[in-house]
Amino acid sequence: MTKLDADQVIAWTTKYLTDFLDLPPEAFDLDAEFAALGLDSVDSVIIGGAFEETFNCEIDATLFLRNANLRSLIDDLRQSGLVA
Amino acid sequence: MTGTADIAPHLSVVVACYEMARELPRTLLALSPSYQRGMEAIPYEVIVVDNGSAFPPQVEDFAGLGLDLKILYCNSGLPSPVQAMNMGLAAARGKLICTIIDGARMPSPGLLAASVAATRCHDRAIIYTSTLVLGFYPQSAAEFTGYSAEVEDRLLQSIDWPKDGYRLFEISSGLIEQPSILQWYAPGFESNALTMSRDLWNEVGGYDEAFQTDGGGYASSDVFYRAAELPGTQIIALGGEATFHQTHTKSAAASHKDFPEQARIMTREFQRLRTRPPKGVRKPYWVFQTNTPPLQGKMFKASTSKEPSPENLYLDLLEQRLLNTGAREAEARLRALLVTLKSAGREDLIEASKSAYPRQLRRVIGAETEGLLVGNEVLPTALTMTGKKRLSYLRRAVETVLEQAIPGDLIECGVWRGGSAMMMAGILAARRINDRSVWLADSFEGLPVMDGDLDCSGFVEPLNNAGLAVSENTVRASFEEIGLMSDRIRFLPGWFCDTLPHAPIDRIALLRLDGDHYSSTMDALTALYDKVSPGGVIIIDDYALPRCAEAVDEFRATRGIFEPVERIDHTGIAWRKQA
Repeated sequence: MTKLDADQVIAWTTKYLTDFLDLPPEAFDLDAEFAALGLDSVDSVIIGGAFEETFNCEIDATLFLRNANLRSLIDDLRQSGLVA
Repeated sequence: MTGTADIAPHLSVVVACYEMARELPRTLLALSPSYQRGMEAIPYEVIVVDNGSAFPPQVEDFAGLGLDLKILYCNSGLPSPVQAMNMGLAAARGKLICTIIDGARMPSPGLLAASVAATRCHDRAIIYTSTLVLGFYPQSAAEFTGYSAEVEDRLLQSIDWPKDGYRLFEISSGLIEQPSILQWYAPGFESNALTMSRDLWNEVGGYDEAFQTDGGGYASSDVFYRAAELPGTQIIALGGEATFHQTHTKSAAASHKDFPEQARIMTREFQRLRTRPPKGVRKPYWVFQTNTPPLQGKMFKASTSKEPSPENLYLDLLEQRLLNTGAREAEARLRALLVTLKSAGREDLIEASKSAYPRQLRRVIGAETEGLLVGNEVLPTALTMTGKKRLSYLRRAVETVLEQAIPGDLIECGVWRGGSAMMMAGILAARRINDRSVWLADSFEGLPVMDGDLDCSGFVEPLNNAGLAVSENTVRASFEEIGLMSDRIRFLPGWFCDTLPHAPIDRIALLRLDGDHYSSTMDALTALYDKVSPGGVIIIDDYALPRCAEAVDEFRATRGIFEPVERIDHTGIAWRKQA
């Protein structure tokens, strides 16, 4: 499978989360903590589903739960070989 | 067909069901004329669409309800009820149509009449109804709470349902992890039931049959969102009415441990169809308030009572203790520490700290009893560092001066986070005493610079002054949070030598000194001792500090004070001024 582009993943996740949480994009950066922004465990699962659908891949159900922010998420995806 | 089928209905209620032999009868009873109030003059029909149950419901089963009832059978063979809902919409004859996509949802007794009345407020009204679930916990947590159909049946029996349908509010909670009050007005993710004019339903185009996951996935949310997006529409939320979800095996909310997986599947479908997050409608809305019993009744009574009775004060404190709000600062600090260590790649330090934990725990427990500090650091969470012994002593002393009617206020000189003063204030509040003040004298900047040899004992290391500096605003916030702030809580910010000689205090019943230094202790005694009433109590917190002890001994000797001193613990002493 072709690896995902990190910038694309960051751009999509940022847009999805700012839409989902009604936040201005500037409130969100690589180190912004998901939980501090108001994301709960059910939201994390929901975002995981949307992520899979968008990028046509399968991710571990705990991906958005076990990573506190976008930077950590990208690192995690790199380690699992999904992101280049 | 039963009831008054020959009269053209003003309202059609469309209900979808699947394998709901237990739940549907209750829902239909709740929709019936004997249960619904204010519908006597409004003809309405109920259309049930069964979505392929093994033993589908029959009209005859509900003959006694007096409903204008029609049951349709949808044989799509699909797990989603959206085709069934559209079938019901097509069969509906009313000018208004209310849809209940989940047949396990019982409406409150005024829901139908309120829906009809609210639609008169706007030509393009979308009537939103709060979504509650029976039981006191989210049904998705049923596997942890033991919630089941049997438990639910007992709950219903406990309120003598269906005698008064509004009593369902007493045994219900919010859908996810919110108290129901948060969902009361605010239109959110979906409305069940959803009432609109037939024209508006046509404009929306009914439910989108592309939603094919179990239960319709986000189809209900989608139709609500699309309707709200139509130009000129107005959402009107019903205040005082709701639907109540009964647990059933086919419910997404009751899928127990499968709920996250179900949410994931639903989201994938929604993302594919709409390419946006499935979120609630964000649009200004009106509230149609029906003034029905829930808003007048016991739902709000407990939380609005501010009577400062001992019971309420105790329960307020218990609540704070259980919520751990007092530990908020420490948790934030600990979390900041962990995040910092983690982002610096120092998980090894986090691991290493675990082995130090038991030792620290012993020291913290010791500090709770004996008070003061752990090493040279203040405890991160406690509102006082006096420890149990001195705090209990303070409590007994305050209670004694009150019971013996020793006149005057209560004052603490050196308050840190305000815990001891809160104990004083708490006792006054619990006894409803309003004619005494609690004074808090402090620099709110930590200890003053030591006065050379006078303050430096040479035996005690200078304390961590940064840890002792707590701002007045922080102390005020703690008083507010604990519910003890009033105009009887008086602050004297500044150095003792500047504030205490001119403090507007007439009489003192209890003087508590916690200034650590010679000069602080001497300044406070000099300025305030003569204001202490006969029988009043003087408490010295820092007698273990040699320079503080020296100040006390010197003051007593100079002034000829011979009242016996009582030792509280390793550092606290007290005496009572002779009557």
